[in-house]
Amino acid sequence: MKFSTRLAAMAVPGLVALPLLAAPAVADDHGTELMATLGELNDSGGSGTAWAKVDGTSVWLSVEVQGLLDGAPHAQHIHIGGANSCPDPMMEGTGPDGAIRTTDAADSYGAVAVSLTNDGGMTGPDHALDVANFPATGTYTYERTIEVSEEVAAQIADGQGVVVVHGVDHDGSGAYDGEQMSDLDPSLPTEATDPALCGELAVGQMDAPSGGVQTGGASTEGMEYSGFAMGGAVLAAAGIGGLLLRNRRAEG
Amino acid sequence: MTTKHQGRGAVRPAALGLLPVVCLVLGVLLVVVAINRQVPDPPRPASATSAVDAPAGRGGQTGPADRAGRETAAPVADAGKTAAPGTAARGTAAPEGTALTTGPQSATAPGADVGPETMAALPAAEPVSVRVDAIGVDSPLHALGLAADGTLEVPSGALVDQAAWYSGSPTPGESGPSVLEGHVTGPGGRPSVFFELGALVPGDRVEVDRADGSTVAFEVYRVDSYPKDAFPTVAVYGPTPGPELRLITCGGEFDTTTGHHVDNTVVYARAVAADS
Repeated sequence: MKFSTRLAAMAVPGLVALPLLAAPAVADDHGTELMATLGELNDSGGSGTAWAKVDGTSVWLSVEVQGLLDGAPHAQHIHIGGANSCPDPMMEGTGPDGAIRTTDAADSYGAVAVSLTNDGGMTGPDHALDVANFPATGTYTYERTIEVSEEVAAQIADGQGVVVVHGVDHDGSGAYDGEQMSDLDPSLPTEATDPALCGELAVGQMDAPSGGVQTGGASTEGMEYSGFAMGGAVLAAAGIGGLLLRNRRAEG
Repeated sequence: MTTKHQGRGAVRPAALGLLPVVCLVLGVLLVVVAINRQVPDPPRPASATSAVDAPAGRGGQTGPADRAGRETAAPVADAGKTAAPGTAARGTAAPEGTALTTGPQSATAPGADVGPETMAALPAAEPVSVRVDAIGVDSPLHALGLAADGTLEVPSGALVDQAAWYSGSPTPGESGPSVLEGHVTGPGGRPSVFFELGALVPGDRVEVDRADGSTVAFEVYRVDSYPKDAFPTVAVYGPTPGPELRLITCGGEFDTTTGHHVDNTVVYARAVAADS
């Protein structure tokens, strides 16, 4: 793929710095949990969260996204490198009206380390723009377990990973278009690859429970005094019946 | 009209004629008493009225019934005042506070605003009891872990009406979100330890006694309600810069098919210096 060389070039500055970082002691028995709140870039209008668990070289990841352009693919990756951080959303980029393009913020989040493709899709950096295999709605929940290298697993567990979701409809046309082409793939509009959401995967402080909490015993809407109420109702009905009967007789 | 019974009616003693009336009055009285003795629905956080929960609200409950239980006859006009928990009280930058608080991402990022003096993290020490004066809660705490399916275990048996601390979370006072949970109702629908949790508002205090003899004070900065099937894991359990607390219970509609409430009420608080 023609864009892979560009990505590889992007990756170089990040890789130079990496060997200097001592690999952290990864993963006790439960592995390492990480979480990120995804903030919007380029006024994408979106929001989201990411939750990851690193266990050995397996990375389980759940990404929830809301409010991006619907009906369009959203490439999403774990970036590693640079300052291991998200850029200032106000930074001046090289895109339309100063929009931030993916390479503009490489100093912040480095290069693609893992491509968060759908099940079946390849997950290496070479598949960063495998558009057919990324979520293609504006609101979605993504979940997948991905095998990564020991180095990448250690870096993510150390809190160096940054989740970036791409695809911004700058001009509000409802589709990826516009005259400027992507800095990653000249065959795509820059809207298709500009970053929309970014969040730093921070090491969690607990083993987060799954889902909600079942702290309800029973409904308060039931009848706690149903015996009273039933008895009362029967008594009242008997009374009404008796009165009706009497009236009838009186009339008769 | 038949005339068959005419003769018998005439010989009926007068007292018997009163019987239907007595029955009616007694019966109606019993029904009224029974209805009045019903346990009311637990209070819902004010923010639960916005966005997500609004369509599900039932009559009379969609308003900010939050404080109605504590402050007699809270007027509906309070809506505007309490509609943006976690944002209004301390003026954090959240221009769209009510809309944002129902989403997993909120402008009220933990630790982001300036409140009373926040507290430095303490070493670990297991919690032994929790007090929430604003809603009359004073409960011992026991430790619970995760069930086999990864969900949080809930208090049961003899401890069903006590609050619990999730032992996989930081101890209260340590850096990070310490998780306390309690039932909203017990068997039969009677109120349990966290029945009133949804009535808390930003600024309320929560105190936790720890096994090392220390007490950590937390101040509520956000109260929210979420559908359990859209529980915002990262917002509730995600890392925080300092010591925080999460109080969790159930709320919302009761789903009779699953036997559970459909929502979770979550109170967010952060540790503050004890005398601030």
